[in-house]
Amino acid sequence: MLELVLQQVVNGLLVGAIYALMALGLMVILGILNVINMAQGELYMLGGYFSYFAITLLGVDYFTSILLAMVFAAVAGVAVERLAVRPLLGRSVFTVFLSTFAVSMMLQDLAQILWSPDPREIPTPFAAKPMILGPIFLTTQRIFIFLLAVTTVTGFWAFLRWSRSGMAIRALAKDRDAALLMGVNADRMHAATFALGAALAAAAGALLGAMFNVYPTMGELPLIKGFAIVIMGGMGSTGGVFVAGLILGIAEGLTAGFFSTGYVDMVAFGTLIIVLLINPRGIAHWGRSGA
Amino acid sequence: MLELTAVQAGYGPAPVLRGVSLSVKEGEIVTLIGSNGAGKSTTLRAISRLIPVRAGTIRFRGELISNASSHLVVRRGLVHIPEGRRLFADMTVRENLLLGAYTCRRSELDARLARVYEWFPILGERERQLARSLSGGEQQMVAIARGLMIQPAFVMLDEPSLGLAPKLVRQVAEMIRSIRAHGITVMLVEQNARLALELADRAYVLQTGRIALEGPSREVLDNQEVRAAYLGL
Amino acid sequence: MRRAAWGGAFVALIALPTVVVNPYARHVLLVALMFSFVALGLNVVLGYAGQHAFGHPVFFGVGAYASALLSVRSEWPVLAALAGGTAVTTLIALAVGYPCFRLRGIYFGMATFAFARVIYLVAQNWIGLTRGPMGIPSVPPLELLPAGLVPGVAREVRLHVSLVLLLALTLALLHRLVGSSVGRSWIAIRENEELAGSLGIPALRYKMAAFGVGAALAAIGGGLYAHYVSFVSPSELSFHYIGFVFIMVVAGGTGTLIGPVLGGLVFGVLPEVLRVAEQARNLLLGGILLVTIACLPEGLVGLWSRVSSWRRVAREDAGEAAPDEGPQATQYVEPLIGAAARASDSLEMQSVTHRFGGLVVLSDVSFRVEPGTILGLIGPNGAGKTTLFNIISGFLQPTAGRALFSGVSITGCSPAEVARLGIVRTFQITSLFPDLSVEDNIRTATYLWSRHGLASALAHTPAFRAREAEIERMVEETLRLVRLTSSRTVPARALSYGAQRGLEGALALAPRCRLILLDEPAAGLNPEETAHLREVVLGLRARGLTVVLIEHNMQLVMGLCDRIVVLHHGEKITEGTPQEIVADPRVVEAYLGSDPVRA
Repeated sequence: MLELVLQQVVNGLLVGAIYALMALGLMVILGILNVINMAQGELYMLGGYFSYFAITLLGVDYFTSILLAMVFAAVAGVAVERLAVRPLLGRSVFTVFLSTFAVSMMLQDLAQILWSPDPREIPTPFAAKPMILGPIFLTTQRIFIFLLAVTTVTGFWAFLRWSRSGMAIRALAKDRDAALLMGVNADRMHAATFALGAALAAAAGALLGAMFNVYPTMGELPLIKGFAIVIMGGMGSTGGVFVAGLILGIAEGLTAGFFSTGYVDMVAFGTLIIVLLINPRGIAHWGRSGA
Repeated sequence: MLELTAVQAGYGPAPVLRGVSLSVKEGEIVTLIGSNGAGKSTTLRAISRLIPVRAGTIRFRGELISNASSHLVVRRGLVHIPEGRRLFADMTVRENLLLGAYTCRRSELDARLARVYEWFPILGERERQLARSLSGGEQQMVAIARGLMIQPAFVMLDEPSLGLAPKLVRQVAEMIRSIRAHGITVMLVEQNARLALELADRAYVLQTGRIALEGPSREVLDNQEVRAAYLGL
Repeated sequence: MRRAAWGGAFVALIALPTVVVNPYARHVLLVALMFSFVALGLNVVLGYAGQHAFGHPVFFGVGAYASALLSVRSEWPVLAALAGGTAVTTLIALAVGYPCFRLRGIYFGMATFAFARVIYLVAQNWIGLTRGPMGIPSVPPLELLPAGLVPGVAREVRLHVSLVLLLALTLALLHRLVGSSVGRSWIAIRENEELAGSLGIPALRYKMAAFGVGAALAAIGGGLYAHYVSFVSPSELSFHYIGFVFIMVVAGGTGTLIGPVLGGLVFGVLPEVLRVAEQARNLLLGGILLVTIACLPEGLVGLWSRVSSWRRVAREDAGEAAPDEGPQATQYVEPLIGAAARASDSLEMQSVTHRFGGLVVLSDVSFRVEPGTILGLIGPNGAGKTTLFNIISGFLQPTAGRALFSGVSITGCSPAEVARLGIVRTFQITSLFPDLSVEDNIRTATYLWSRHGLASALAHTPAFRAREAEIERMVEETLRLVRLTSSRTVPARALSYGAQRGLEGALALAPRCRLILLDEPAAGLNPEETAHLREVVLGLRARGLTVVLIEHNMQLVMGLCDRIVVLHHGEKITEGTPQEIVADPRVVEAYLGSDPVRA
């Protein structure tokens, strides 16, 4: 029994770290632009595909493919911002939602047409050879992916904390007018934020895609789970969102272990609903409330 | 250096500025005073381009800025230190100051920081403290120092004495004099009319969106109409 | 003229099967009609109540499942199953809506979206109930007009006719609902929820009602669909259908009744048309959605309005509609005010203190306002005056102390509750219902004494009609008082600033409250408008109302107020008559500033 619990917890931590990446990308776009990027799931999916093609067509190694995927996705993110978000400045929140929702639908179909719905597997350099750590079953692949995920989250946090652009982004989120008076170019920062959010989503897609599969609709659920994590973790808190991601991963893992896998996806929503009822401001009690 | 001609601006349908014309010459301290709701802060926000200018023109050093975006105005050397200080509360003093120098090159940052610490030594001591943990007077100091980081040619201060005890108000007054001594032109918006007129060379009195009175501050201080405008007598 | 147009459209719609003969086209038309219901449902939530419930269209699928299950498993007759399914769906919707409404804006929207996803997953996985991905086949067919009644007519035609009739009935009922205080309250919440609250409209209750009504309509559409195609599967709960419904509502135009029907009909053919392009269905759908957003910001309805723009141009030619010229205002106050203020209508602040983020905004403020007097609240910027208003009107809870009205504590009440107790307020920044006409603004503001329930609104009972007549009388009188009669149909956003301020005053009078809080009513007014304001406020006092006034226009304050309270840095520094205040050196210092050298 205990072995099962531990095993599922470890599995869950891994998936959770990747969910957290997705959520952080959503959070930063939401915090700066007050926009829910409904296409975030598709940027995640594109990340998986970019990584796959980088390896199979360009012949780069896995790590480089992740970086390339992040770069390409960042470009795609800026394109989404310029074409589907910026022209709608001043119109209702609902209109922007619909706009990114439309982009999401189009990207899904485009992927299906271009690359067929058949799932692909990203080839990784790790042997699938299992490692046994006490009662827990691991593979080197999984350990590396977890480390990569944590590294990316840390890198993101460090970027926000210490880089000048990161400070500008945080300033814009906290007090827009004051940030403008510092000479921050809000327009450019919006594009940069979308690029950043897209890069994070792409990283998540490339990482998870290596563990499981890459297919056109793979972004649908992670989008909503990501949003649930942002709510649970608290807007504006990298640490809170990361922890919330891990918790969700573990909860899903335990559900898969003890109940049926069919209900795994509902864990996110169940927790979201509970959090909504108790405290919509999230674990970190930070930042803007649900207002 | 700064010239406003018949500027109209406001928020939504409210016409706050109904045609404001004023000018500030290099090296001056000019103050804009008036009762609440007269439009003083709105004037500064129009200049720093936080709100759109509906009519009229604003020129800074001869260049038209009425339609420019706010970050451009900062790059031209015009800094607006807003009402209520608006520090980034969860960031340290140092981070706030660095953000003030956002438009500067990375290589210049250390020098600028050092210069500001020379000017305001207490800030050097409190470098790593979170902005929200500072006292009101210290926060005002950070706000001013932050504005000076880019070594601007022109500084606009919005109600720097707001919420400060008299002793601190004196300190702020000293800071403003010191700014002018460094060759920076100052525009001061104040509700505390006595303080403002004491510091400034010239004054404009704003009333319901228009300039009601202007002149050397000595004259404005003695003017009965100003009293009346403030107290409705 | 409009009735003729509606009648014509109705006849044309019913007669369509005579022109459309191709069975596939007829099928598409039927599906489009059913989707009109769903679009109408989303429009109630989104267009009228202004709640961005992104996941709401899922109730189409829920209604389909509910009706199908009731008729297949519980073997209810089809019509009963439809009704039961609608009821069940509405209950589910209310249960879903309640936690979601704890959030605001996009967070609320995404929460509904998440719930929609959960419902989909439940349908996929709860095989015992829903048979999972296999769906529910052999759902009994729909026979609204039994074959026996109209022999010889094909099934689809019978179905078409009965659907059009049902749609017409639904539209008629919705029209009544929207034109009643229920609809006005929805629109008020959409336009300016804060203002609606201050006028006594309990926002949550009405939001839930809109959510529920919208879900019921969507469920009807879903149930009809289920019994028509005789098959229900989880795909009816998927994002595809959510996307379709969005397009219909957005393309049709929100906030009108005809919009979603138009959208439903025109774009209801989409699912069928796009079946051809199987692979690229979503690609096309997404593209159409983007094009719609870009080119039809107001939907087909907006396009139509622009085409028939001659009416619009005439209205906008009024330019910035300014207040009318006219005789003195006070004579119109008389019929406006209901019962004169009762002697016990005093307002008392007891040691009110408010802290916010480490700052002390108000510190131990106490004073009393005698009924039937005008109190002025003055002080420099940041003194805490508006905070005090927010505390009295229920928008803020004080850290300590309380406010009493007629001896009863009102601390802890919501804004709507405070309004019900008899206190109304205006806001520092102009607060109106911007897209409503002047007269609709005033009608909406009468909520407290003019509201009626769902039943009487739908049935147009005599009580309802009497109430409506009273509302109209009030609107007439108020329009004359604030001199806006000639601008009555102008949307509030198109008024000149002075006129908007006047309208704000009208909204404060419409609820017939006994205590009015005015927050800087003279801000931005020219001398003539200020004089008019003075007359109106004096007239209010003459009728026994109590007024508390925040103002910076000292002349106005001195000439109007019976007593004045002066706040500075959150403390009450003094109170007294205008003469006493003007002579008080502390007041002079507070305003002009202290001499820093001597301080």
